[in-house]
Amino acid sequence: MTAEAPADQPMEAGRTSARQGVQHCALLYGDDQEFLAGALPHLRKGIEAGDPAFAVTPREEAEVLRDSLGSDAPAVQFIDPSDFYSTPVRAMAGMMAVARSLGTRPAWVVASADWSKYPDAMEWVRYDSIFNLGFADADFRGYCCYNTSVLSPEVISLVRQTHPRIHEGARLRENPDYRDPYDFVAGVDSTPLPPSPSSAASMEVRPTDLHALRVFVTEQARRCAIAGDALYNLLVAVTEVATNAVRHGHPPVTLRAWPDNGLVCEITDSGHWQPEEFLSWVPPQSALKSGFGIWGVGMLCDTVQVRTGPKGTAVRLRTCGN
Amino acid sequence: MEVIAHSEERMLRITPMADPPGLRLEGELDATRHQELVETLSPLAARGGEVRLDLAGLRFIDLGALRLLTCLVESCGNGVRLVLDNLSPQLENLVLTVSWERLPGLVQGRKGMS
Repeated sequence: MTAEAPADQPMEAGRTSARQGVQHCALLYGDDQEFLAGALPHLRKGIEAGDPAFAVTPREEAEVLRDSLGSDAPAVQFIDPSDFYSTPVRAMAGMMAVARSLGTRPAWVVASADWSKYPDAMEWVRYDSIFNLGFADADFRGYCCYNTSVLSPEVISLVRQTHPRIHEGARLRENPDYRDPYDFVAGVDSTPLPPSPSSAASMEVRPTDLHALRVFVTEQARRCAIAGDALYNLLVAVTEVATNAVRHGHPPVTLRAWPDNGLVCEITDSGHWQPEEFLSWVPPQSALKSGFGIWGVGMLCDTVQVRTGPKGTAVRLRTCGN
Repeated sequence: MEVIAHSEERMLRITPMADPPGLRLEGELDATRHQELVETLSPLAARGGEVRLDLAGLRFIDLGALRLLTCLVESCGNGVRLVLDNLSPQLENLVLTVSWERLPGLVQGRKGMS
């Protein structure tokens, strides 16, 4: 489907519009002018409707927006992306909290972050894809902004697969390259992770002594200068994944750790207990709900990657540090 | 302050407290000790009201234990409240990360070492 609408004619109706669910658009731009041509009218629509408007943008883009908004700038809430996009699962929880606080009110969002600068960038791409599912009840009108003069063609190709609409060349259109999130995520999950280095430290997890794995992780973390809350969170995450592997997987359960953009800890077993993909992303209502554990692991680490294959299940956790 | 021998540091020690009713937990709490905790805590929780858990000496708690305590409250069905006293900063940070609202029946108690 390639239905097109001029960018200056909103695909959404005005302030009396019914809730339409999440509208997740990618704005592809090459310079400040193109950025403003897409982002500014979008924010202005929100301001004119009296709706909340957010700009989750790095300082440079925020300044460009502020200058152009002029006296309207205070109507936009500016958020530092390094706070908001701390980890994919935290960002999802943050979005859901915002959605809940807004109720039925539409939110007009301009967001910009360079995923390629994050380790495990694919987990942020996954976030972008799952975003299309997670907010069916929220009236988010989001413009995710990508600078085509900076980002690689590979990144732009992923952007095209994860945003149902594209604003490009001054037109907003339905995106024929958009892929269903379940299909897209299945594709990511069938891509093997790079092998763990042969130099990785490793130990066998004994079900009766989980303390031993925390001693092991603490020592590996010390070598990467990871301490304090980041270390404690990692210990909780590793303990949770190892407990799951002991309960639901098959021995041997092995813990490996190696330094790479912080510390990576990988728990492998020979079973197939892969957690339900979307459970691990959506904040559970309470600890009583299934998925609380694996969701918690995502909240406690920078990234979580799970792969199940013929050899068993591997869960890889990365902690960048404090 | 009591000096704990290194080999015992890791062990979960559960000490009953009479007034107010509760337990003092010291050491590390993970899946290897969940059963022990449930067995000690269940009779107290069954009475309802407030049960205090002094966690000043608890060096580690896993997500499973938070889930377990929440399940215990739910299964009692008597409105019992588990009051978590003296959470260490790191433990409090963990609870805030998952959020108190996901732990119905668990409440923040007093701060600072008892």
